[in-house]
Amino acid sequence: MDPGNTPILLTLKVASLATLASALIGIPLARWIACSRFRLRDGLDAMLMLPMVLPPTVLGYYLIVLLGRNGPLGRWLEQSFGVSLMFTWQGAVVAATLVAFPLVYKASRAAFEDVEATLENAARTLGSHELELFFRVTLPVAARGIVAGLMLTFARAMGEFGATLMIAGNLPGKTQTLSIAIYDAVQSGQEEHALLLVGVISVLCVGVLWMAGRLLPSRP
Amino acid sequence: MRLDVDFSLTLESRQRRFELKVAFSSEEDRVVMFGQSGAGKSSTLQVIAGLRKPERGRIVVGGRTLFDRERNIDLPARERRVGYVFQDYALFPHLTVWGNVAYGLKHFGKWRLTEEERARVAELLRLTGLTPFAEARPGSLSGGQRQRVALARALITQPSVLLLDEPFAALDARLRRRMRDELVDMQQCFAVPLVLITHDLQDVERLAQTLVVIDLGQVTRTVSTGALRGSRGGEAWMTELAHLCGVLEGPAPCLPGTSTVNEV
Repeated sequence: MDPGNTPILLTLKVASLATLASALIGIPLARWIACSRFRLRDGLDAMLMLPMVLPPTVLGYYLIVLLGRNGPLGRWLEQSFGVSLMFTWQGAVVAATLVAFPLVYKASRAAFEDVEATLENAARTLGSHELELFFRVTLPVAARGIVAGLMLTFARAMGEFGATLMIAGNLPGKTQTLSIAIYDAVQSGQEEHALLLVGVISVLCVGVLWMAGRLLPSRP
Repeated sequence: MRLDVDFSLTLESRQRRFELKVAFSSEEDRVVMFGQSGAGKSSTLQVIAGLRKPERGRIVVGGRTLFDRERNIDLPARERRVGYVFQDYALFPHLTVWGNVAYGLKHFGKWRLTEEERARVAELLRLTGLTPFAEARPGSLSGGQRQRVALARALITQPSVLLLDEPFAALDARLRRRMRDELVDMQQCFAVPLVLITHDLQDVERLAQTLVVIDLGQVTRTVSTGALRGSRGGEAWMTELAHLCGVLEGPAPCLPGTSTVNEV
């Protein structure tokens, strides 16, 4: 088996699922924050952006405290479902989601705030209820910004290292993602292998950023 | 159609507090509300459409009560059956002209138009001269065409009243004249009463059957212009209207011949 294969596929799987989870968490949160006015809004906004600022190792540590065998969530998962996220690729998804979702949240919030209120009012006078006008007007008009944010989320999730290493570890063929495999290859002196993996992840990231850039320019 | 509007509303922003107290009624089909910027015209339309909630009052359109504080009636905007042409048209940028006009006929769980509805969209596009642009996006249209899309989109649901917020403000003088005539044609063709707000006396002259003058959040005058106009025409009538609208004292930017804003 090509030793580079498993980390690549695993990375794509983890990054895709983390992007999906980020979308499900980040987009509704962005919509809610964008159109509500309450006192703690700015504080909550700052909290949601925190994962972008904190060192990934700190986030990893928080996750261990939360999801570890003795953590409140970890214990509950263990007792209720008999699963543990520690040292699994699913744990890597959780880590990548936590680190990357602020990107889609931030981009979606800006995109929602750019949607003019009169567009939504027009939809109201044309007979749409709130949920309907969200899916028929707000979301499509904001789509470019949101998709661009999702691309960045995907790229960030693909490159996630610190938090993933702390919660999922470095188990080749199980939790070893591309960026961890690169670290491993360099540490064990496999220069050529490291170079190959570095090339792969560079091309993937450039591709994603190029697509994000294409989606970002102002609408026609 | 009978239109009864009587409400009050306090608008508050950081800078100012603004009391809007509007009361007027009309039996006629074309009501023009005249007032300077900031007089409360747009807010009045939003209240009629249900996009803003007044603190007290009553709004009755053609015998249908849309809002009545005392009887606890407050129909949401989607159930009021008003057609609204927004000042900047508010066309959906992600939909084609066809998609914009057909918007009001589609709903969750009902995405396909019936034969009859497709014919109605096609007929409206034909009447507004938009048939060749059916597949175009609003972003590629001229000001006049956007205005026609907005009008067609508002008329598709067969509203019981058509509300227009300074619909000609963004057009040049020549196009304005033509669009006024088109609006009258459409209004008669669809037999839909309209309420139009403006700060342009030419709109009053061409369109008003009932003139409502609003200043600093209060209706200062409601006039049925049909009886007044009589045999008077031309300059004399314009001067009279300017007096009625209260624009003859002080600076009068809307006097005939002086108001030409070029299309941006």
